[in-house]
Amino acid sequence: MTKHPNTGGRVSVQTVSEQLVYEMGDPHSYITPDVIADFTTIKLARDGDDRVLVSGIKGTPPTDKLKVSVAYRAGFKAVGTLVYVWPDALEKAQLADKILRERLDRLGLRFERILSEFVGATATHGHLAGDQRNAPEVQLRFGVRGPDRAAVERFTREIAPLVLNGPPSVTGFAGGRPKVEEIVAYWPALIDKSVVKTKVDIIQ
Amino acid sequence: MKVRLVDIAHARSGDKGDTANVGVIALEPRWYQVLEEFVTRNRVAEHFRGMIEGTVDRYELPNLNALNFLLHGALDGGGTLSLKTDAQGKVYSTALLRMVIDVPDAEARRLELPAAK
Repeated sequence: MTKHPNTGGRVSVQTVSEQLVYEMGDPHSYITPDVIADFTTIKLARDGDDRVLVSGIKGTPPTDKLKVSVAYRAGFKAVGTLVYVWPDALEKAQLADKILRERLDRLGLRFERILSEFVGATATHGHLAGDQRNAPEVQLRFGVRGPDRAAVERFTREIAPLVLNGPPSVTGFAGGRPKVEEIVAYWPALIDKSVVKTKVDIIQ
Repeated sequence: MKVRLVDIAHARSGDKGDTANVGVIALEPRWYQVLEEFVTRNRVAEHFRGMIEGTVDRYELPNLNALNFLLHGALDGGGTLSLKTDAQGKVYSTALLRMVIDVPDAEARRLELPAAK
C-alpha cells in the first residue's frame, strides 16, 4: 500500500490500521462477493516512507448469496435549529426543547420519532462531555420524523415563534423554516447468486 | 494509575445500519495488552450507557493491536432514517477515547503508560 509522491497525506501502519477497522463487523468473517476474509490474519509492516506491506491474509470461499441494496420511501423528516447563548445557554436550550414538545403535543401532532440534541454540549458525546452549563453557546437541534407530511410541515412553522415567546438570548434563525425532506431509506437484503445472471456490455 | 485511552490509542468509527463500530488501536504494540485487559465489553457498555439502545460486542485483532466494538442501536435507526447529528457514528471513536481505565501501578510503570492528566 503506497501513494504517489508529493501528494500530501500519509500511508503508515497507523493509517492503514484505521482504514481496516473502518465499518468493520466480525473481523473473522468479512463477507465480500468474492471471498470471506479473515482480518485477524492480516500482517502489516512498514516498508519505507509512505509504504506499508500488507501480507498473510487468509480467507474462505464466499457464500452463495449476493447483497442487494434496496431503497424504499420511509416517510418525512425535518430538522430545525436555534442557537442559545451564554449565560445559561444549555438551560435555555433545554427549556426551549420542553416548550416545543408541549406545543407539538397540544397541536395534536404525532410523530414516529422526535429527537432533540444540544449541539455544543451533549449532541455527540452525551454525558461523557461532562458539565456543559458554562458553554458559550448551545444549538438546539430538533428533529421530527413520521409518515404524515402535513404534520411534519406543521412542525416547521413552530420554530420561529420560539424566538419571540421562548427563552431570551437566542439567535441563528435567519435561514427561515426548516425544509421537509422525504426519506429514502436503505434495506440491505440477500439474494441467491444462482438467480443473478452477470452480463457486461462494452459501449465503444 | 489512571490512564486515558486518548493517550495510549487511536480510533476510527463508522456505521452499518443502526450499529456503530469503533476500532481502537494501541499507539504502541506493547500497549495492546492493556486495551485487551481493561477495555472490556462490559466496561464499554457502561461507558456508553444512556447513549445506545442495544448491546455491545467486542472482537480482538491482536495482529493490528486493535479491538473492534459493535455498538448496537446507536444511530437512531441509522442512515437516512436517523435524526441524529452523528447519524453515521463517525465520532463514537473519540467518545470511546475519553474512557479512563485504572491500571495497577507496577504494570503501568513497566509499560511506561502516560498518566491521565
